[in-house]
Amino acid sequence: MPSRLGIDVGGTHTDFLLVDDATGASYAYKERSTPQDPSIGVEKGLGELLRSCELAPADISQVVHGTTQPVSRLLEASAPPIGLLVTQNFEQVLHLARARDGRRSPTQGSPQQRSLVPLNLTRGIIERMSARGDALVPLDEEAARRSVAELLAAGVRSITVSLLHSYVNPVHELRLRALIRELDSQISVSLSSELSPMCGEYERTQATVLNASLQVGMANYLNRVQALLSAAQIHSTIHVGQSIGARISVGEAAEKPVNTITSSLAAGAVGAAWAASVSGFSDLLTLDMGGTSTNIALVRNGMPRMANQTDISVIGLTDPIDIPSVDVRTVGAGGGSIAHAPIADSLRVGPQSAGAVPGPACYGSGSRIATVTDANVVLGRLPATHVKIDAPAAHEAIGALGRELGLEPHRTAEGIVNIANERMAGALREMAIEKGLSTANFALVAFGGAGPMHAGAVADLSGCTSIVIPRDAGVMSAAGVLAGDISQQFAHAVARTLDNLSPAELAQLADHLNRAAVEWLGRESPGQAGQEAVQFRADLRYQGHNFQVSAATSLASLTSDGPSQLAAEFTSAHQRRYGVRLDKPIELLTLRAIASSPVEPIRMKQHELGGANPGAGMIGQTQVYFDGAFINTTQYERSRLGAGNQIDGPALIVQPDATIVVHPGHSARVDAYHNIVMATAVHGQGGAH
Amino acid sequence: MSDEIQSKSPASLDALLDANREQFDSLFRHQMAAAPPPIVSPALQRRGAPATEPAAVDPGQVSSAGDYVGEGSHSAHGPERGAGNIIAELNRRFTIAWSAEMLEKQVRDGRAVVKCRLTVDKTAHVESGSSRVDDEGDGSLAADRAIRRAYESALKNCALQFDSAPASKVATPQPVALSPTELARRTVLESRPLDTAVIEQVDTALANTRREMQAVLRYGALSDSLQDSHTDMAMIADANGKMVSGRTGSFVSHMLENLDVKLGSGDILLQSDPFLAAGAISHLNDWLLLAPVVYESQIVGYVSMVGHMSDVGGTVAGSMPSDAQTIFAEGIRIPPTKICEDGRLNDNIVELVLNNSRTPDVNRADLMALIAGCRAGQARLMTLCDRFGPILYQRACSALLQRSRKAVSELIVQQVPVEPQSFEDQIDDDGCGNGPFKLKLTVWREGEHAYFDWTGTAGQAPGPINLPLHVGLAKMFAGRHLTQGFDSRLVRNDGFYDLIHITLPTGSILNPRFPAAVGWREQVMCRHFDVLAAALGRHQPERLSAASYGTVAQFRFAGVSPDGNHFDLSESVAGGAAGDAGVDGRDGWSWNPDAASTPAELIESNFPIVIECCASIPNTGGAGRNRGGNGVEKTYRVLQAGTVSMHDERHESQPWGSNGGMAGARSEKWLLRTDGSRLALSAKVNGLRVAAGDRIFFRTAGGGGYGDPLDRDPARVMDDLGNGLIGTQGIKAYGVVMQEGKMAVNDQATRERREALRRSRKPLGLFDRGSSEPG
Repeated sequence: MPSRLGIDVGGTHTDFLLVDDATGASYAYKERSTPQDPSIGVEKGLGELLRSCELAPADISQVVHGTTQPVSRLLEASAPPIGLLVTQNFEQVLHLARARDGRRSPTQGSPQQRSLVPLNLTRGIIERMSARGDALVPLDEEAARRSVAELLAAGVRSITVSLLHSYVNPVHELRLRALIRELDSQISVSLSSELSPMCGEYERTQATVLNASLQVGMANYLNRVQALLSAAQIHSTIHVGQSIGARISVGEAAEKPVNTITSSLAAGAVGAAWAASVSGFSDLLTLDMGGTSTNIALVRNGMPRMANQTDISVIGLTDPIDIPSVDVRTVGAGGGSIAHAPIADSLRVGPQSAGAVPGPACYGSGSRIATVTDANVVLGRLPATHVKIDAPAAHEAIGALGRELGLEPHRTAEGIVNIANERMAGALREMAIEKGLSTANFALVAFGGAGPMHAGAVADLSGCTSIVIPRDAGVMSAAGVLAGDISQQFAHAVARTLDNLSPAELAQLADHLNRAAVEWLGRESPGQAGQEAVQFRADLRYQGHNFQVSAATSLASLTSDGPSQLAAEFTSAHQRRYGVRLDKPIELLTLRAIASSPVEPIRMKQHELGGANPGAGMIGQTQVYFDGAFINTTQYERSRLGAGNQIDGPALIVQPDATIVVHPGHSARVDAYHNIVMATAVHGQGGAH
Repeated sequence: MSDEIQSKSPASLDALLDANREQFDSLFRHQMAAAPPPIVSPALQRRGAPATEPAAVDPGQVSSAGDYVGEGSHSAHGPERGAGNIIAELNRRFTIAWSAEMLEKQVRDGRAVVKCRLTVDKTAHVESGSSRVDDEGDGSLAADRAIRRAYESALKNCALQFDSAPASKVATPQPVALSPTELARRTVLESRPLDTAVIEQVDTALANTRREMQAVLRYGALSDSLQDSHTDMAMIADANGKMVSGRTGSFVSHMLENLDVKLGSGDILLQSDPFLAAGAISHLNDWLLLAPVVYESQIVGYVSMVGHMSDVGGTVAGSMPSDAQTIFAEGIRIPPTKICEDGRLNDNIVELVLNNSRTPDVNRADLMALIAGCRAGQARLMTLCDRFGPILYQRACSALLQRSRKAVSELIVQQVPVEPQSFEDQIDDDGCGNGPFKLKLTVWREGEHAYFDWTGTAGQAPGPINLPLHVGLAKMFAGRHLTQGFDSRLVRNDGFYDLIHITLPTGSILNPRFPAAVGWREQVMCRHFDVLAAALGRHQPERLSAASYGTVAQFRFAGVSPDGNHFDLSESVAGGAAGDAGVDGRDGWSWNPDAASTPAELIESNFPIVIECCASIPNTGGAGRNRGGNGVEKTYRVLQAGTVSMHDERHESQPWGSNGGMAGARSEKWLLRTDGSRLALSAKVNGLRVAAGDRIFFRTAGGGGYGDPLDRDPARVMDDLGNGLIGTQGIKAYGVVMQEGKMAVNDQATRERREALRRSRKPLGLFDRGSSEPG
């Protein structure tokens, strides 16, 4: 029987999840990541995984790979120099970026954001398009040839072309590509009008340059992965996760690596949505608490909330780009967050992290830094059942901080954990509330190394009344890349008011996007291509306003009387939200075609529900500090618990890669899919705690 | 689509509620569930929509108290129902027996008037109250309702008399009688020691509360600026009105002192008058909402939100005429007004205020979102009282104030000189032909007390650049500057206010007399920060960064298209950031941390204009070991006739360099007409008529440099040269000599040139003002 393999390379660990399609059984494995060459960790972990399970490599029918960590390394590696051609007098488009730095002090310096292409490898081209696509200044081909020759002489191996308004009329970009090829037929050329035909010169240029700087490294990396999979006798198709939580072919990923930058973060949310759905939850807040930070996302009706932009701070760049992604936010509180007392007896947690090196004191590396993980050790919440814990070192580190603050060690530890929880809960609430949603209607899905340990308290604070700890909580991103469909978004900026847009123009654009989407489907998912597999959305707003509606529409509607249908759609959406209709033109910002081809869903193994008594999983008693005092707490081994078991808090449920804390007043049950579902106390409802 | 929800909908929160059952509802119902009386618009009740009865106390508690006092046998909906609630409330609060009696009631000329007596412990007060009879539905029921309201009002008036009664007559307020379980829980909670761990948790929760208030605002608001607002619009104060979390400073006690009414749990104040706001707001576009947080009948704090309204009337769209000579040109001035009273939205006030705006629909949504934000804040603070117990919560707030005081007192001793130090700088003009205006600050300390004396600052401007700073906000700014680089969270509150003493001469540009125009106060605000940093920096030069372009540079192009549509483009232009001890200043940086530059493509898609150039200008950043950021040049070619207005600064003076760094270049603007004629423009331009094809050149100032330019690594100088960020003129200041015909440093010659320059030049001062050294 076939099986499927998800691989996700994270900062500290490379995660594997192998799912047997016949039984729904899964095999998870974690291997230390090897940042200098991520494929080494993949190879090593794969070997271990295959040795530990009975599934034959030849039976693996699909491999899906999440690559955020490898991608971020690619940018640090010395990529071949890139040259940039932009409209004259806009040479500093990347240098100036968007001018904003979000800094709160008016009297301190502010550093420049680093540019992916230095100004001395940027050339201004004499040409100018208007916003309507008319050539205000014709392309000066002679001057352009000279500029290209200069860049070639300077040793660039790749040239990006990003001209003003090229998303409206790409003819100058296309002509420049031909000119470049005339001078050097081998050189790689990227056009902004092809990669990201969006309005906004900075974002479009940045996305295109970023893509160009990742291409070679991504192709090389994926080749290595393909080779090592072949060597392991895995001859399946290989897919790569994208930032939108869907997968694409290796070829497509090497062509457009910019679409994969936050694939691991997105996969966490997709995996959580998949895992919680079998337990009957479709509105979720996801809490992925790792070593350095916590990632949160919001899922409604089983779908992670999307953003039209990608936050690329994960690779050290501050301004986001116009590439869609799952809206994942990062809170600077993770297991490795450092607790410290900067001034005047204040206890602060983060934002600095002890990272993997030196790491928390309890990891025994000789570190004396007090972290959130150390605080959990002191509170008895992280027993040395599966992991080696240097408890005395944790007590030492927390004790020292406590002495500085005049606090008893357990009180210090509890304070640290409380503050971290408060921060995560605040971010979760904000994420729901800014969209007009109440956290009370959401289940909290916790995963990552530290998520299950903090979930109970965070749920109480944020107002969630149900908690799901998925079966594969330790390798959620590896599960998520497997759960994603084959899908891609084709976006094209319009940036015109509807009264200025003829039905024919709109129909033409819709047709163009539709053809691209259908052709893509034919390539990426042969046999699945069909009109019904392409959906359309239109981003609309009142001119000059921020509030956007992403209205679902269709090819039929767009090609009949598109502008007036979109206007009606927007007006009614705006009226539903604000109760008013404004006397302003409605602007169509972007038209999007979403091509998707569903993959066979992964089924989680369903177990027969047994008795409620969890006695078989009990492995001992321990003392855990809750709310000011140590309480006798039963400890369970997750792998020994059966479907149907019920556990009342206080309890600890340990598994190799995480510890679940069941707070007093909370109760946990193991459901038929071996997810653990916890209910908070009744008085915890509605965000009262 | 519902017909009820038209743009002329009479009420608003209810329109919002109706409009969005699925989402808005769940949010605001949830937000309000834990809060005191929900805000109910009378219009909503009229339409028969479900609304929670705005009962003052839980009916269950009333019946258990068992003492419905007043005139006997009315039904729960009869006129005396409200009195029962008030009496029950008084009994709960003061744990002694109160009784009331209605002495007279009459309905005449559409008003109900009631006289009543309130008695406790053999003392009685007699007062009257009145209420308008609403004209909805059955006449006799309407009269009953009016009598009930009048009776409530009369009883409140009686009760207020007791507030000033001798102590022996009124028992000390006691906490509400609690259920045994709750009492036990509370006892445990409040027996907990108030340690750093609790204080820190409350601090984090307060910060979360403000984020939540702002998230509600972003969700409900309709204007661009509020939908995108991540800046701190939300403030939380303690029961004394001291800010425990926020950035606006304490204005609550000052505002309440000047108010002749008391705030109850269902009341929310709206106000927009900068002359009555104690610095919390400084021009009429900012609307401020203030609501008390009442927990078990006691005020435990206040929440407040501020939002910038799109238009509040006045002589021009947007309400910031740059030629205003008094505040009356700048729109409607709202004194502290109960926009919600006893949980009811005051529709008359809402309509009155919105009737004065060019954008009533947008303002309505924004106002409701601000109110909803306050309600969210109230609900969260009550949750905090539930979690920690109201006593521990309030003690934690006090501890936060004390902690901030302690830290600031240490920083004052470190950073503020004993000997007075002065610094002065200037604002070019007020846009009405007057200027320059001097800003002068002298700082010193006595023990742990710091003094900031703005004596010597210019008198108020005739034009709209005055900044009504108020002492409280000046303290907040000073505290924020002192803690910069240490721990910014310490000045989320104003516990340190007694350590800082501010002198703001009355009638000066920083403390103008009514009715000064204040719409464009931002330029003075920017310069005030420069002066503050410089005055303190004399004592600690290494912490003194240079001055940035220090302004909010605005470009505006408005007109009417051939198709009759009005267009109005407004964008801000970035300038040079300051060099400091750590880094070069950024080329093209926005002083406002949330204001991103607008893409040229977006502007050209929406407006009849072409942006021909957007680049930083080489050599405009001051030279230095860490150079200043370059100013930006934007060239606009207008495609249609219209008017152009611009607001900029540093046209006369230069942003100073520090610690040996050189001053940044001035700003500059000119108009190039199609006939080739060139018109030089001043810092501020109002309504300049332009014709199709005219070009406007807008160049902002560069930032000052930090440190001796001769100490700059020659390789960095060459990088800047290679990248076109400095020119060959620019490298002279650095004493860098290049190899013959190559883009490379001649090390030997550079060393020699630098030594020679060091010997021959004048000693470097702490400040370099370029050629704009004041006389």
